[in-house]
Amino acid sequence: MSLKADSYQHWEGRSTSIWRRRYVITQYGLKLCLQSRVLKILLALVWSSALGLTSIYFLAGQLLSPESGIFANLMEKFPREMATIINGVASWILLYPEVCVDGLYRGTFFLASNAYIFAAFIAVATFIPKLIAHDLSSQAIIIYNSKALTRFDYMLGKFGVVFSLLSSLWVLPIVVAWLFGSLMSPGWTFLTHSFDALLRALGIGLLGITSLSLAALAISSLAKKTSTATTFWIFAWIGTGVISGLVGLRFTWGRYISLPETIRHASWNAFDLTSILENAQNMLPFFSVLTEPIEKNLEQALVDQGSSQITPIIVILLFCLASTAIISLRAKPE
Amino acid sequence: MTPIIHTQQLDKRFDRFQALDKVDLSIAPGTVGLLGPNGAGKSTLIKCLLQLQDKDGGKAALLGEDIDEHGREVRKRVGYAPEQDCHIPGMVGCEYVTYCAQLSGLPFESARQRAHEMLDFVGMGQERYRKVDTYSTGMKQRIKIAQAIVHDPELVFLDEPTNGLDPKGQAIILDLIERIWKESNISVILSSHLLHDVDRICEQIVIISQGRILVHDTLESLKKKRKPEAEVVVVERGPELVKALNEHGWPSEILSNGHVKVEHGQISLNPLIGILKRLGITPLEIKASPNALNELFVQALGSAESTS
Repeated sequence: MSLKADSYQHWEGRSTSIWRRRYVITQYGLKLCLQSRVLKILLALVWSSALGLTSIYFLAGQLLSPESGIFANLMEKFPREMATIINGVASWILLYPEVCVDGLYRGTFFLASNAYIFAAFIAVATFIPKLIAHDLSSQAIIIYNSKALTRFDYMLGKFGVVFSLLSSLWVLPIVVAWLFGSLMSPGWTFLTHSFDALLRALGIGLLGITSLSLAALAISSLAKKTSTATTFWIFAWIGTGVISGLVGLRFTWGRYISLPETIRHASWNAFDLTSILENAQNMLPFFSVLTEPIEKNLEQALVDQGSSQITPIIVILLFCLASTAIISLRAKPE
Repeated sequence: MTPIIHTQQLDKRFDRFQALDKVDLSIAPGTVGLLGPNGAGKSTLIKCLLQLQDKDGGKAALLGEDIDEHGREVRKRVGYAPEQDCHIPGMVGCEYVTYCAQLSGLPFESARQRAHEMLDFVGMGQERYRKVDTYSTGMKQRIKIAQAIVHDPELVFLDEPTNGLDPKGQAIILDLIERIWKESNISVILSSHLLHDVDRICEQIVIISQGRILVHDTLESLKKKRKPEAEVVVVERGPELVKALNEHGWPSEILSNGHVKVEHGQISLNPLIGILKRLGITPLEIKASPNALNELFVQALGSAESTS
């Protein structure tokens, strides 16, 4: 194909696949969203926390290795009593790695997931108008739909934008922390005993990201103005959270009005921290002195959350269906 | 030859308003003028063919392929420049056209090269490096055409491409549209309510009103069907000429601009020139069927109204 000034040239080449065309939408969307400084700061914070998690797993791994130089060095610096306690914990980890390692990972993943849900909320607020709202207000949606794409392809491309960003704010840091934490541990114990916690984190993370991505797209498709889209998102998060809290005091179903709250319930169920404490207590009865007060609180919290394990998941799936229906109805040329 | 557009009983309703009423159409490749008053259903027809709006009934095929079965694939071979502005906010011109090419299936390198070629073709210079939001109406029309043909389609729909342009801008866009067919063999469907645009460029005419196709034929054939007429531009002796023509059996009249309109009914203008010579009148100009399309259009709409 040669460049001949202002005369028409035919193009002879092979068309790209539909997946490539969907990826083009995602790629451009990511470029647009990553122009936000707030989003870049959030990404930096989240990945720093992932680095922190890796350090925790690394240090915990050192407890399993009696000949660890770092461990020995640390022991010298601690007071005698403290060193005795740490030695006790290290012995306990050595005796019951399946409980300690799993407990450590589940606990940290639970805390990290809850923090990352909040990061996801702020992140979406920075780019929600750029998803569908801008395409509707500028009528660019007509251009997308007149090309070799269907509405579904457009939706999938846009879904890719939110899903990729939320994954890098939620699931990816956890996976990377787990991977490096396990790789830096002295044996395979960490890898095998933490795998269950990783699966739980992945399960709840992917479910949460999928539902939040669809909800973000649905809300973006409801608004045409930047400010409206952001306001809708903030209301959908904080407003429904407050309503859910108030209604939830009286009616059980009220706890599921808010998507983020429902994801938190599902996360609580998925990590099942109570069972970890029960296991710890069964294996080392004296441990109950330490865990009983915590466990009581956790049990009470569990009762407060509602006993059903599956209900939050069903509600999240219903949120996904409703969001998909809204996007299908709204994200099309008028 | 495969028709570029083929519809059978194509139907579209908006609540109680029948936008397309069982449209049957088969259009051969070439330049086609889609004419009709505002709200006639021109844009709706295009949008239904491109699946930008769901049709309520009937069948439609573009370039021989059923849109229900191969809608996405057939749109690789079709371009569309919509009536309204619909750029992607914040994008500069060449980035926008490149992106549109990628969405149509061109790999990035080819898309970028082709975008620059098409921007050259539509006559855009350094403006291509400016944000589309800042373009003038004429520039926006050009970039819409560039994005419509960037993937080298076989058929392009141009919806009111001269809207909002001054006469000079209109002429530039019309030249450009003419070149699309002549230089590239891309069939052009030009939707417009401006008869002059269509008369200048199109070989075929489709007149649509109230969602129904009133006329579909070649412009030449339509003009032939009409009793040939001419407009004689004279400086003086108009009434004398009218009298002589009427006596000859050719109905004629003086128009408000002073020109003489005559229904001569002849294949050639020679008999008319003979009469002028005999009378010793030297015309400034003789226009054959000057407002044929305009009259055809008014006639078609009039007959449709009387039928309904």
